[in-house]
Amino acid sequence: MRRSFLVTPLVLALAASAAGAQQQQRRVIRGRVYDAADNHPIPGAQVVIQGTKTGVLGGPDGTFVLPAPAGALRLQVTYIGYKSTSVPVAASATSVDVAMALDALRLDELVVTGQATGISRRNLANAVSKVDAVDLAHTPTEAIEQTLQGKVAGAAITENNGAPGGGSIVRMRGTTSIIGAFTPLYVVDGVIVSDVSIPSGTNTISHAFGSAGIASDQDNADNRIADLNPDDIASVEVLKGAAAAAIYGSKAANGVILVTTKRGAVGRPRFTLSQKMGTSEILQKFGERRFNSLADAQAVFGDLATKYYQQGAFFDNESQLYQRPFNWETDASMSGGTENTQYYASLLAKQDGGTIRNTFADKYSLHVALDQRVGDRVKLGFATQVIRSSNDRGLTQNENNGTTLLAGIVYTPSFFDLRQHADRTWPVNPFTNANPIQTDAMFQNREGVWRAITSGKADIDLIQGDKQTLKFNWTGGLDLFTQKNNVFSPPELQFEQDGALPGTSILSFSQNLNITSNENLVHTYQGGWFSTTTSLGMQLETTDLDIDRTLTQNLIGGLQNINEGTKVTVEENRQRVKDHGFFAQEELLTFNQRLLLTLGGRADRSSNNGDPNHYFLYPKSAISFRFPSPVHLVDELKLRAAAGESGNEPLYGQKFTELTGTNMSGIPVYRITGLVGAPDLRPERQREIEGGFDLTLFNSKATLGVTGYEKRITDMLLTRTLAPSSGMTTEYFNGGVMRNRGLEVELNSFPLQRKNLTWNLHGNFSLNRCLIESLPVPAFRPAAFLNSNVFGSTFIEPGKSCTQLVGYDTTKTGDRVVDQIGDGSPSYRFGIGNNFTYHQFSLYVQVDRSKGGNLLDGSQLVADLSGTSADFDKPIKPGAPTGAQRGAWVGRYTKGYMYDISYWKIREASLSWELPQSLMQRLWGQTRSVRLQVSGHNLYTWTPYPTGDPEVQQEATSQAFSVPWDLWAYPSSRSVWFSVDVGF
Amino acid sequence: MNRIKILAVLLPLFAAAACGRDLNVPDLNQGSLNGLQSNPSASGIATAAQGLLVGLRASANDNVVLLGIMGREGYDLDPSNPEAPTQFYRNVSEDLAATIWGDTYSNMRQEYIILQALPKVPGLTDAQKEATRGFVETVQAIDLLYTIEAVDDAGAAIDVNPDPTGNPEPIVPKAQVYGRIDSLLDDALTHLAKGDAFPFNLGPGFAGFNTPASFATFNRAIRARADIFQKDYASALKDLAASFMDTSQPLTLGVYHVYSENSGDELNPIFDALPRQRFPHASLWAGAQLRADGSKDLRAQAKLKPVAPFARFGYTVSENFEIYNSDQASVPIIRNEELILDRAEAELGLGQTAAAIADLNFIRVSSGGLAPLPASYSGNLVTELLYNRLYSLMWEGGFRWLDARRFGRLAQLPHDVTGDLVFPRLAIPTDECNARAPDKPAGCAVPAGM
Repeated sequence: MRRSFLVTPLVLALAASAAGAQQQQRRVIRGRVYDAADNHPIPGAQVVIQGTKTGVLGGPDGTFVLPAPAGALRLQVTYIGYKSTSVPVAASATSVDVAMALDALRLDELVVTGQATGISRRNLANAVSKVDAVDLAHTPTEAIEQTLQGKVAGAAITENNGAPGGGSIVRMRGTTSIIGAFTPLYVVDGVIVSDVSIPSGTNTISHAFGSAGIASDQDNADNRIADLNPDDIASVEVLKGAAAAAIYGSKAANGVILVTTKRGAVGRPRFTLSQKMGTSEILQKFGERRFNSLADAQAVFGDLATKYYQQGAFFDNESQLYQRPFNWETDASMSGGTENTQYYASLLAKQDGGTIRNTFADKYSLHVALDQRVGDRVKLGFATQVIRSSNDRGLTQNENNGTTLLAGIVYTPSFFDLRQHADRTWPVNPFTNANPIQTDAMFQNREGVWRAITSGKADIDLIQGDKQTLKFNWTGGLDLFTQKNNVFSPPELQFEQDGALPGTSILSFSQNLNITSNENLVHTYQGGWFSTTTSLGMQLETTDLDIDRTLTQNLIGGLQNINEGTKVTVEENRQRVKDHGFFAQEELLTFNQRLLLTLGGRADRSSNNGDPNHYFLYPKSAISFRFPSPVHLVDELKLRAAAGESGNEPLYGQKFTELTGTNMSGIPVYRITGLVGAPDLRPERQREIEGGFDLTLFNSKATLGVTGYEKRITDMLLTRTLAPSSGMTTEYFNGGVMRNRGLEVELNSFPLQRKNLTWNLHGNFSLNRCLIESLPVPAFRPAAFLNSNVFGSTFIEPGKSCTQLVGYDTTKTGDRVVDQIGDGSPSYRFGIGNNFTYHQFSLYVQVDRSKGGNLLDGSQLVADLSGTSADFDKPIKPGAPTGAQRGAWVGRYTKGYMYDISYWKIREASLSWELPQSLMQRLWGQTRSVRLQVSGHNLYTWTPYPTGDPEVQQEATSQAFSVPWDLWAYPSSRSVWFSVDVGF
Repeated sequence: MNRIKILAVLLPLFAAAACGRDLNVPDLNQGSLNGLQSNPSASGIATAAQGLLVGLRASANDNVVLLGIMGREGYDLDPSNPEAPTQFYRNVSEDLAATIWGDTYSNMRQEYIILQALPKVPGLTDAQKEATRGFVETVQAIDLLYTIEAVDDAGAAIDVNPDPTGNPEPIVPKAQVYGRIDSLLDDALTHLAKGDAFPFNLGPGFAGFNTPASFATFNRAIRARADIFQKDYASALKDLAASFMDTSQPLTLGVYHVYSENSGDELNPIFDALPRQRFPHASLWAGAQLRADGSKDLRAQAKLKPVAPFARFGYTVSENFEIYNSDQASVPIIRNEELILDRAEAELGLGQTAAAIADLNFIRVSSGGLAPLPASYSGNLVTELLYNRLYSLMWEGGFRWLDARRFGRLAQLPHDVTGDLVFPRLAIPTDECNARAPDKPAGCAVPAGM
């Protein structure tokens, strides 16, 4: 159906408004906007008379009708994804055709500069990375962070382990905080969304963090940003440090990730349907020792070995835990719209089986976005996502009672068969208190999340003059989720049977509500030789989180309900944060649009600060200048510099010195907590200076951006471990200076660009050095879980790296010394992506490289001391130490277990084939595109790290806070997919 | 233009409303320490005083297990922490005393806060305040005793620093620490004498010792232990006489740490249900004396249970501990049996051999089911004393190690694996030393093993 009769009123309305402003109008220009490559019409392009604010939107067929003044003029035509084009219209002409070329290097892409303003990448003065949907979605992934891995210079993104359902840490430009928040702020369509990790409560089972507390940081929790559907994302902008992110004030010091979800576009309805199927497998097994003789077995297990040893027997118990699951994902979307109304809706259903049996992650989501024009001055937008995600991440990682799966494997000799008997009973493991294969089969660690992220926006044009505009903008919304965790450890499990209170059930309910409201006034002025954009804004943000847990032990009859046990423990933890800020910014674009000057700032207060009503000011400024064709082969050189400040506000509760209430045989008691809060606690202040240049080369075949930066973080939020004799353990305070210096390079190029063959090469490189410049207190170990010399600890020491690792080392003379034994941070990393397109085929390969950094291989350490490491008797490589030899390092030579975690990874690869138009038309006339694809994620890793994946994390903490360690993490996996995408 | 006018009015109003908002959010999860310090109430002080017993209880695990492992009462063979044996016996960690010091000084901080607040509390009578002071100072002395037991010659700080974030108090020599313990206990005794009733609940662990008068006999019992550790035998006899020591009462008479399954309470941390972590030292079963019928000392029979032998990390295990046989089993703080043995030790030290033999025999017969020693016993009475202290007080407070150290017999404790050593004391914890850098006390170093 043609909708031209709908178009007309809008055009008339715009024409009328233009008429009001533009008295001397004499003629009407008619035209058509089309793709220069294939002549297809481009619907919805914006056509503006250059030097004025007069303009129209093109219709679905690419045509436009623009009332214009007499005389020769130029039309500026812009459309997302195309290079902005300027065409001359002679004084006598009444029609014009506008051909637009694809903006492969995305120089005209709009990049955010304020709460409600943006500027084209061409002029941008900050190193903001923007990743668009096409680059995000080469392979299906669990979570949005994984789609960004290796694609953003300066962002270190590591998956905590291979458990299904996500769980990653994103660090922007080095270590930004020791005890404050260390992960970036996520903003989806203007709403601050929660990325909290809420542990499930498996600590009760594993005692990983000791027996106090139902849940701990070692419960292998996912982080909630994993709920977002990567397929709904139109683009991701990454503000890496204070210089760009000052507009987010005291929550921006760790960078800001701005996610824009897909919305409808003017044009005929479009439907897409995508079906993906695949599987995954673990990258590497831990391995088990083969016992060659009874004597070997007796040396480890004593008389127990005599009873169970069988010459030559080897049961690969570890492999019993793993599977190659069937994974699938179905996406469907629908979009379209008229000039007045645009809509987008999508559905996702996805099931990932874990590589450990009985683990999984499922996700279902519905996304609806609606944009509506009301009259000619008001534009309303609305988007909501409803997400259901659920998973079971099993029982892995650290333990203190033999319960976690891989612990059970390590404590059991390979000559003992742990498989279920034919009569469905389970062998009782005499070597430890758990049969991990039984645990894997019966233990449940279920998580279910319902989440709604709703955002709204309203743009009201208050003034639409020829020279100036004034726009009021409101953006806001809420992010509400409930998370339910059920941990069920049935009494039949061996470790439950052996325990004092067999059977454990833990039910946790968490509810989080984030509310964001932004109001902005944006004024633009178009002078003869300059234009200015002035914005004023105000932000209100609140977070309310409540976590309740009930633990029931000694389950009656093995029932899971929390009332069916004899010992009940309950916990509740609440957090509430209220923030309020003002924002002002002035942007000046002049000198023939070559010079951009920006000045701005935000004033913030937060309930987490000692004084919740004190405003902290975060200024920013930036400058960029473009030199067209400075030398041969260089199309343009842009020099840029930016400086800004942002904060990192304290976490909830850090300002309080508390008394904890507990009991002794039913008698209520108070205990001091050991934490000394700071009544005057302030946000950390990050001051960042960045500078660099961007080159556009070889007739728009390549762009190269180089950025150097220095971030100084003053007034650091610190916890100091106090002298035990003070009677308190930890003090929160502000002080000291930390510095990050780094270099980032981003390259995007088209070395080959023929009609049927293109090669797109893009890459990024980053390095960062973090240093503690000064401390107001003696050097100290943060109060982390692992902070002993035997396993190493971080050590906050002036003049040293923020992430240095300290522990036992052995001198040449054999003396034990405490020394620096490594560093948690890699020295540099880069990612390279290659995209070849030949006719209908395209091949994409992304390789990531990280160099340097250390990780404590706890898995190997424990296996060595347990006498069960695979290389206990014989080294893997000639000359390497055996497990037996390594075991003697413990307590003397921690450095030996601090492995180099450099790696090369084939992160993503895909091969796809677009069906030719002719074939599609023959199959079904309505089809717009059909693509078949095979792809893989994390296909291969080369690393000197001996056990599994060097990117794993036991605890999700700041790098400067706790030693990086790995103990029986859920093995990392590689996945392969086959997918069919249909558009019609 | 009307809309603009409306917005022009509304926007500043929005902004003003936001500015006026008070963002204060109180502590939603815990009580405030500040309230207890600046504005103490009678119930707040009572709740905090009860908390001292939870704080004291925190030390039980290390006193029994850690000191017990150092003195070869038991092994830590936790498969999940296979670094433990080398940390105790070979490459000894500097940080072994970290939890002991953390627990005791944390309690001392709370004691300091209560003592500071006590004069200001409305609603307590002077007699109640005296009783409270006597209680708090007694617990303080016990905390200090636990502190110095672990590090011995390294010395310790005798008070928490008033400002916890300020410079720590000096580390003073062992003798001064014991002097402080004695004076705290004596001062507590005078306050207890002026008190009528405790304005708080001491719980089931103090049944029979929950009035200032009966609590005073517990105070003296602790003083007697401190006397024995200082080899001040005359004072020991005097204090024992004022304690609850009574050969006509059960040997279990005394004061205990208690545990329960109530939500928020703790379970006995020493109880190892599986067991998988802690096992008795092989020498305990092997070294038990035989009774007339050829069976082992009743104490060994009651406290140890044979299991299928196995080896781990080079240590062979054939028994389990049976001392704490449930997750709610109480752990003694001090009890009658120890006091009788303390008296025997004091008598021996003062040359009152006959009295010492009589007390030892009382324990041998009533607790061990062994034959009494003849009055003319010619063997080494110290060996006999230490034997009885080991079997009577096994896995109750690290006595094997403390006793061997006091009598210079550490080198005679068993060495199981080649390279294993017995260490005479723990080092001052690393965080304590870091906080005092660069003037680290000598006690920060791990002493030579033997």
